Amino acid sequence: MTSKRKDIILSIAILVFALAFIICIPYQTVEDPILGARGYDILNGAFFPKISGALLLLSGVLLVVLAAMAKSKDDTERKPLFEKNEVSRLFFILALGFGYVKLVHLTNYPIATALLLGVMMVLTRARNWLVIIVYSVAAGLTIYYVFSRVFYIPLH
Amino acid sequence: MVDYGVMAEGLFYIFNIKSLLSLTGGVLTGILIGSIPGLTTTMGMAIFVPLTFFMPPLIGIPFLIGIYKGGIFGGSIPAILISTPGTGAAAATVADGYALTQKGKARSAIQMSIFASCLADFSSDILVLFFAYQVTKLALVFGAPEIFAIIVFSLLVISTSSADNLPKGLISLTLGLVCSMVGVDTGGRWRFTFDIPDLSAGLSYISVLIGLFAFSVVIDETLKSIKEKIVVQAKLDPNDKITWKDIKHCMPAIARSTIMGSFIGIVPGIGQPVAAFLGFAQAKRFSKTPELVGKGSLEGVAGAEAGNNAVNGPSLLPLFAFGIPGDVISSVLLGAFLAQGLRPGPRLFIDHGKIMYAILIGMIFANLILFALANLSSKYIAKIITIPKHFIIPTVFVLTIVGSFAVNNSWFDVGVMFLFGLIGYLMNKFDVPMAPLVIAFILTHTMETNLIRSIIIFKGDLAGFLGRPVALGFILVSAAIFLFSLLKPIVNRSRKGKQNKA
Repeated sequence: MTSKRKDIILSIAILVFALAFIICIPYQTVEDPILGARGYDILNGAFFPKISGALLLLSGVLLVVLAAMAKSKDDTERKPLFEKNEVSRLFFILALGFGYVKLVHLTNYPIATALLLGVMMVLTRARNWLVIIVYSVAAGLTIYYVFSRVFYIPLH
Repeated sequence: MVDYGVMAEGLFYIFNIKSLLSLTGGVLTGILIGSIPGLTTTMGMAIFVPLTFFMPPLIGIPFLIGIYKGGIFGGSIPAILISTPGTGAAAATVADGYALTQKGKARSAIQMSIFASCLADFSSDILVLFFAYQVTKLALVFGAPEIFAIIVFSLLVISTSSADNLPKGLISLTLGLVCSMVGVDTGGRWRFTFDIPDLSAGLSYISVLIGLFAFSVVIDETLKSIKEKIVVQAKLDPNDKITWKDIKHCMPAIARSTIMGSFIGIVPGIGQPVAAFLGFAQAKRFSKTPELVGKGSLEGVAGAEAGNNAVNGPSLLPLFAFGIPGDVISSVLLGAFLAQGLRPGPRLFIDHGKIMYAILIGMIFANLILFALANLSSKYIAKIITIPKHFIIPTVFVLTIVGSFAVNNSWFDVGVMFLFGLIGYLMNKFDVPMAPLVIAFILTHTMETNLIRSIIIFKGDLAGFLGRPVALGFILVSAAIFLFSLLKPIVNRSRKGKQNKA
């Protein structure tokens, strides 16, 4: 994908987000009637969000204008933004993270951590099963010991 | 005037076995993290910040400072050995460092990198030790309008200097502003909480940091590992080493880069990579053999490494004086300072003089420790980069989760960390810099509070800024920077068009 197309996609995403944010402002901020009565409307909780929303909108517009003005480069830059299976793998990694959190609640910290470490080692191309098992268990127990016994963080 | 009595007490505070061991551990951890391509110093510090919350200040903060110093140096190791900078700051070292490795002089390059890094860092830290108090004292005379204007200036400098084009820097900056508005506004009213109780305290700063700088790297490195096995091979000749003649030859380049890097460090937002490239450029410009610089010259390594390391100490001055982190590493340190009850700002040296001087002296000790450790181990240092990623990435994955959970014992914060990891990954994909987001996230509350105070001082009239010359100066310079960055691509394009026609 050319940097021009990438910038246009980014600017569209930012413009959509900026509009959603601006629409939310009246519903997600509280006006202070006392400040209003004293002529300090500017100090209300909505003032900064309005400026930020406007700045976000301006950034999106600037990016789309600059991207539209830029010349397309040759085909050497035409790599896809996401490679084949990249998005599904990305979500798999995130799902692993959320699954791990769930597993900590269902089992206990050392078991869940050893499992996560094992799966991640396989994903990052560790091939020796003995090394995977020994490292996962040892690292899981060490992290558990350091955080729960040394720093008294309740890992559950 | 610097209170030498307090400084001496600071020396006694830091000169104890626990603090020195903590510094040593930090330096070793930093070298390890910095030397692994893909892992950054910021990431390493972000992971270990939550650990320091449970340590006394003079053990926790020296540990982070050790990581900082070790990490910035460590980044030069893979830059020299395998042409892959471990950190952005080491990018300028690649040309000469790797060329020297190919000539079989990798150890000379590493030793020159150690010498230049430590000497430049040591000199700039001495500067900070004697000037930090004066700078913070100067900050005492600044009121709310001046602080507001300095923050606006810092944010604009950071967002315009960290991206190739202005809109991307602004997008990152504004996302930081938006994210920091979640929680409670300056008047104590809920804002953007969407009736979710966990959002009422705002987004956890540490979770945002760990997500952006550490978890995004975990995602990226895991995806790369799934795609292809990364094989790292480094060559190192044990008989090769630098001589006094080499050091003497490189001293002018080191001195120039140190002075330049120290000034660059004071200005928020510019940071190590710029100083490293400028250091490299001046080494080439003033060299007696400029044709060799960039093709395997020790002068090039010395210039680049001295430049990026001289930034380290002075980059903390805006943090100490105004509470404004000049770069992302300072913003990570800010979290550690706040957690230890050390609120950076004009009163920092007045309220916590002994601890602050102890930390500053600790920074100097860290350089000495780094110099000793790196020199002793320079023969074996190359082996660091041969640690397989299948040990490192899974461990970092677990540490990011524990680190973000540990701050508030909240699994919600872990979810926030995952979300910002994804955001960080996407920002890298779209070439959007992360530094403006993080620094805006940290500074928005202070900026909003000071704007409100200013408006109250000016009785609702924004024209009041006209009567405050320092604030007005910063606002005008900010406006000029904004306009310059906006017009730069248009001017460049029209210049190119004219050149093409000619």
